Amino acid sequence: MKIENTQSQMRKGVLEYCILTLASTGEVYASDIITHLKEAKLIVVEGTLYPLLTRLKNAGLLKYEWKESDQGPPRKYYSLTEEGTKFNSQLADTWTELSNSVNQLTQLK
Amino acid sequence: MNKIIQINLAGQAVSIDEKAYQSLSHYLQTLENHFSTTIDGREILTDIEARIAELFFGKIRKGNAFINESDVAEAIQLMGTAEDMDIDEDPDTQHHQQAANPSSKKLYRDTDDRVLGGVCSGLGAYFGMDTSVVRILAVLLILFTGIPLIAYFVLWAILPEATTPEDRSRMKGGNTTINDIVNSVRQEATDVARNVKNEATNVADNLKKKSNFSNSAKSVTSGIQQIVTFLAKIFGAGVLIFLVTTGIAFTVFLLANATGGFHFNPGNGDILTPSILKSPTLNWLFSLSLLSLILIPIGTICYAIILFLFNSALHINVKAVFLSWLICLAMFIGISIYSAGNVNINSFRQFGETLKERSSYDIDIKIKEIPPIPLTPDADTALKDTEERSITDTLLITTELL
Repeated sequence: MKIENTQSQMRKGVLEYCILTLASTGEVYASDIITHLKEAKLIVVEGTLYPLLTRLKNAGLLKYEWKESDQGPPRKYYSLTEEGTKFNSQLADTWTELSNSVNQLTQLK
Repeated sequence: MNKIIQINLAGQAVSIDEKAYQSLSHYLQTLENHFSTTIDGREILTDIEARIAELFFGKIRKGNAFINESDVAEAIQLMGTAEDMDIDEDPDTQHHQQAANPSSKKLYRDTDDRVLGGVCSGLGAYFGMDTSVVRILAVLLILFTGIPLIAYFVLWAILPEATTPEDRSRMKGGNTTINDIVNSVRQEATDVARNVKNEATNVADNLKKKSNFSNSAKSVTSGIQQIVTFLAKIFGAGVLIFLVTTGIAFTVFLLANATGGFHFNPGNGDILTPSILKSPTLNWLFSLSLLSLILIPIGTICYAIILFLFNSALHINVKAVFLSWLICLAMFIGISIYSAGNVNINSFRQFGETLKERSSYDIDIKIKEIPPIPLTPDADTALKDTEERSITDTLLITTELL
């Protein structure tokens, strides 16, 4: 069993939650999301984000709009759909529960 | 010294040095190969290209005249490799994607389990059949009809080897239904149509730019380059059509010979041309090996042209092609030597005679239908003359025909 696999499995669900949370703040640009995730050390390379964004969009949780940019080509700005908002709040609950449970367990030893 | 070229990256014109362009296009090609198996592949790729374009614009705004190799390397490092992007790889989603996207299942040659090229085991994996069943079927079909032999060589030459674990899982995939196959063919056709359209638009754009004279010399160079490529492609398509026609002609002729000859109708009767060899089995093997001998190079060239036409990154397994060809050559030589004394001379002679009879009969009738024009005042001699002339004419025409 490789540690990398387990780590990426753990990160995966959390990453989706974090992207949705970032998108819940309003319209966000992909590289803004990247900046935040990189700061939080959740992703290493930018490429990771694009398949995820597309998947969340196709699942109906995210939507995007093209907006003109003063520094180059028009950009995709992502925001949550109604379904995404619901989904995100459910994930928030799950996360709270999960982190509580894990904290409790790890404090046992 | 390096050439600077202009490329279209996510709809934006970018000046880039040639070496940098090569490494960039290699990187994007790897990603494309990787993501082509997923439903959202195209979209993901477009997003990534847009992001890279944006990074490049950042460089240019800082004062770089063009994008160089280190800029590309930096961008690639920032974006990560295809494997890094696979954060959502788990059995569940993979299964889901495969169910939704039939083209994710691919035909490979399974070289771990092979007798010759691993084609049978690859087919077995694809259709979920036992490899031995596929092999027995293939051998039976080759013995009785011969056709799968050509198919085998073709598949050997064009199917990729399943090397990575990813390939292996794609080789097996989910269950394939006819519907999936239809869908994947439709998908393929749409892709081809789009590629052709893109190519045409690109050339048209460059022509427009060129005629505007507003662009720098470098874009004109790349415009001319594109026009040359486009012309080469048109030429390639011409050669392709010629080769395909030739191939079809050979196939029709040799298959007709193999199955006993052409039916054709010189006048009234139906005549069957004789086969080249006496024994039908020998005839079949002879035609088949000669056909493969001709079709293998033609087919390979056609395939190479198609790859060039659609800028495909696929490769031809030249080794397999050559090996197949050698096998056919050996078969052909063997059969030729074995059947040297077995040529169907008599039946050809007979055929010639039948043909002579039929056509002379036919032409004779036609000539007789023309009212004889008396050449001399003596009607009787004139009639005799015409009759005689018609016979000699017929003979002349027949010899000319033969």
